[in-house]
Amino acid sequence: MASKGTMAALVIIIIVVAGAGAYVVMFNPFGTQTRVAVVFATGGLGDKSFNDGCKAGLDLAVTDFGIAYDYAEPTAITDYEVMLREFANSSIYTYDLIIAIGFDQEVGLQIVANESPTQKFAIIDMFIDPIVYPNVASLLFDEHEGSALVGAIAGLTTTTDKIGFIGGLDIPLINKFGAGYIFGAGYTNPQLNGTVNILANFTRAYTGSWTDTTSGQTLANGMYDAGADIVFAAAGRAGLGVFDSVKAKNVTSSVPLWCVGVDMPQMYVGTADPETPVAPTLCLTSMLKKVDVAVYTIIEDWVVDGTWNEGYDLLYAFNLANNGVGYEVNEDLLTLDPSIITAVEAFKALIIDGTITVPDAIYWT
Amino acid sequence: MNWRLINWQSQYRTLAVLASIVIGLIAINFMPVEQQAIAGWLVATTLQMATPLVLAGLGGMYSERGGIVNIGLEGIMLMGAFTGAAVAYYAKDPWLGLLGAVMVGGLFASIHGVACVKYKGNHIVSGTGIILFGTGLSTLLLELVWHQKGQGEPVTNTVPDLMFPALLDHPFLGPAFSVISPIVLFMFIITGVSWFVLFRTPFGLRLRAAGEDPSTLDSAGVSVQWTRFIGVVISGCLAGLGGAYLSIGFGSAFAKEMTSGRGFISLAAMIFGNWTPFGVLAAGLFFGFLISMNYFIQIYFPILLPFANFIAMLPYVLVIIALGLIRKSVPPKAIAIPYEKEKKG
Repeated sequence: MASKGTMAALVIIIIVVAGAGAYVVMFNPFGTQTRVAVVFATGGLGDKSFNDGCKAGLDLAVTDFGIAYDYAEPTAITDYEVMLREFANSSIYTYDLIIAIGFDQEVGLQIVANESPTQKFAIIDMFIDPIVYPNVASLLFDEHEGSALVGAIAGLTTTTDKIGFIGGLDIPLINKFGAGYIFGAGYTNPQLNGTVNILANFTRAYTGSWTDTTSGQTLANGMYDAGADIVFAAAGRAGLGVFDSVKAKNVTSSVPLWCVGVDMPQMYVGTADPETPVAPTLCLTSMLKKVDVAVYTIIEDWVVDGTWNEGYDLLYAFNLANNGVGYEVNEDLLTLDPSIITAVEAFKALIIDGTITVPDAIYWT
Repeated sequence: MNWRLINWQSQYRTLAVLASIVIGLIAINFMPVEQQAIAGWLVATTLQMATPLVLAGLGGMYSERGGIVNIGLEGIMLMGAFTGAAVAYYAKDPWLGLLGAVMVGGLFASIHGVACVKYKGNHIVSGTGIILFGTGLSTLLLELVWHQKGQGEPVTNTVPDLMFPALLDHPFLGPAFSVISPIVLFMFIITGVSWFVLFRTPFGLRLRAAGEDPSTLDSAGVSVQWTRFIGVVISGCLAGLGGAYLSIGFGSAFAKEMTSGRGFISLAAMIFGNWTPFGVLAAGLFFGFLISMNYFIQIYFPILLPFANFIAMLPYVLVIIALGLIRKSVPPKAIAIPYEKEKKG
């Protein structure tokens, strides 16, 4: 029997060796891979839309460029600053790029970007002045243009001439979706055009949360009961409640009910079993906001090619013209009438060449 | 009938409630048809929103009547919601899902029971632990079971709604009651049963004694510890059922942190309801009504949209006003005090 001292020394050695081993296995400090850090929005992964879209872009960058990434999932706005700083000052890795997902990271990012002027950052959905913060790239979307296209489809499809919109919060970013949606619907359907008609036939409501699916479901239930037959949700994971609602309400409804997905192609979620999607789906189309393309583009530009723009070139715009936003067509699940597609494509061409300007804020009162 | 058992004041209250329901129904009957439909929708939404609150609130009442503070309802509801969805997903039977949710809820609460009753731990610390444990474990299991983050796969076999086709054509009763979840009806039944158990059975008397004056119960030869423990387990069972209503009764999938603070609101409903079954029912329905008012205003009164956040805040303000100014809620006397035999001093 060894003495107590020897035993203690042995235990300490074992712990140190195991700890070092675990450290090497977990963090791979000898690797020379370029690394990217991501701080997701509070809605979190698994929303099948905004955050999952960003992750899809990252995963594609991993396969294409062989980079690696670490991510953090904050649950509150106060977490953002802490997590951004943690990545910026990380003693384990130097990150080539830190991506902040979501408009509400603005303040946290500005503070951290000020503290670490040599660290490069990118933010999705928020304008950060590139003159003041030359180390922050802003990736911005013209969501209202994409929403106008799904709105046009909704305007041509609706049988009750009433449509609804569910947002996460009553903020300019989310109202961009709503404004574009009703503008597009009004373009193709006179019953939804003009202030009087919009007030009479268009309902909008907000869940007040990006995660409360029950709230999204209840609001959609109310809208379908109030006569709307197409509901478009831009509420992150809370918007998934609308899919539950449309499936339940469509059973007893006298007119066909539809919902419209957001950010990612979500038509498959509207099928009876999303694991193996087969027609029919109750999701008419999805407004695509290609955050995956945005994440992929900034990684390609800076991490791979090493180009960091200066001044206002740091603002990346994603719109209809460069295919950064759009609408989903999935012929396997649902075939829209060819006349609808023709009308929407014509509308899209007019937006791209500037004949039609889609409003990006609530334009009726 | 033993007349001394009747509290005349509460009789008047019952009459007032019944009278207002009748007057309300008559008033609704005279409204235009579209408005009747909206009123019906409002009633249906109120019932849906109130059910998890009332079930968990009744659970909290059982626990606190026995002298154990159970602030862990939120965590237990999440575990119930998860178990309900997982069992219904694999067993393809919603009733098994509900049973599983009730059992896991009870099991989860028994952790709290052991910590508070047997080891005389601090109820708030243990309850907070239950919240964190339930939130974390349900999120972890979500990823293990469905390999999804955020929201699990949809459950196809959810609790079937009861249909009353006879009511369908009535402008008010149609939207209000023609399609109703059996769990909503069960909420009313369990409220009545709880009242009977608590005030008309020996067990209820013992449970209340354990919360008011445990030494008397002890000298009557009944185990204070077991009585309190059973109260905590019942609270977990009901909270688990309330959670399962969210995942397989109303919705059809388990989502991460899907209770969104409903466990805490049900605690408020329990206090607002003065720790009595019908009080909890009334408070839960009232909160459910205020929550659905928030939706109602957004959908039907877009003019008030800028105040949506203010309206969402109203329930909590009203509770503070009601509790602070109008009426004091009286908690059980020995609440949160661990019982020790022959304690000195």
